[in-house]
Amino acid sequence: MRTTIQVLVLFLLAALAGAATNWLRPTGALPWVFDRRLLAPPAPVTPPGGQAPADIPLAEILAASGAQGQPGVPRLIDARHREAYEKGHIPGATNVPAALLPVAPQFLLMRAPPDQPVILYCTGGDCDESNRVWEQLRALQYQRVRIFHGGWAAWEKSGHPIERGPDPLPLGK
Amino acid sequence: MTWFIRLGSLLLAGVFLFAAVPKIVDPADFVKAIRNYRLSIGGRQPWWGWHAVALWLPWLEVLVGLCLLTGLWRRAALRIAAGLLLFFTGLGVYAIVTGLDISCGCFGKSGDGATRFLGTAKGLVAQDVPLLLLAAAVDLAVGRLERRRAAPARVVEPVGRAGGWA
Repeated sequence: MRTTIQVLVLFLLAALAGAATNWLRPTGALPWVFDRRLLAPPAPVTPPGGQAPADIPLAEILAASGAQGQPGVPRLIDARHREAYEKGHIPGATNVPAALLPVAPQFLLMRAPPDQPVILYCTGGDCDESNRVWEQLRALQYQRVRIFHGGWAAWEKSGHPIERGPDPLPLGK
Repeated sequence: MTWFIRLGSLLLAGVFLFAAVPKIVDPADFVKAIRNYRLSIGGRQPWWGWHAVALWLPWLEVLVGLCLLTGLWRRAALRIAAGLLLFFTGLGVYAIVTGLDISCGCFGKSGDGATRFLGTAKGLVAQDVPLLLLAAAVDLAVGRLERRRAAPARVVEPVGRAGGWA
């Protein structure tokens, strides 16, 4: 009983110390509740009809998939980890795992120069990899980056062809 | 017994204090490390809690380290240490099973795609399992010592007094 009370007191003291140091932080306090808008790319503009912002249509992804490598065509980038990519991905998409990009931006630069439009996708739904790659791309001065929010789940569900196997472009050892 | 408790506590205290400092200095970087695990509750990421954990957890590590160092509330600190190590080990196993190529964030650095073994998920498990066992062993030793001290001194009857032959 005594140990349990001491554990609870230590938990409470840690919260107080965290609050105090955060309040005194010279660079400004970190909000206690994370604001997800800080992460997500700007939401698409709502069309005049008042409909909900639409995701990139599957038809556009399909067209881009069939024309990878041609000038002006957005580069499809799969932001999931390598194993997921190798099990199945949108045909023609290249793999830049979100976890790898911060330490190895050269893998992205060899796949798409900063002036090329890029479409990112990850698992779909609530996946976060595309958001994280989006942040990195913006830091690397890529100007035309969009996210296919439906992601792999929407593509797989649509019944369009899928491609399996490793990315022919290297991702290091 | 006491030397084992002191040495084990000192080692655990060092690890917890060493791990906490960089996280306190740069909590935003620690948030990135937490995010990298992509934990989800009911299919949704608990993003609302990332900052709170990043601000609170390092100070809990500091308090655990200080308690282990000074011997004050040692058992409570050992219980928290074991709980944290168990949780971190679970995170490491989760990262390995789901194939996440991430830095463990153990010592504050989010540096994704870690190359140093100890900074990886496998490294996290490899270092936390022995520490978890150590915390459990020290806790058992402290418990045994406390019981021994609390037990009433055994009275030994001097030979010759019993029996009433005098």
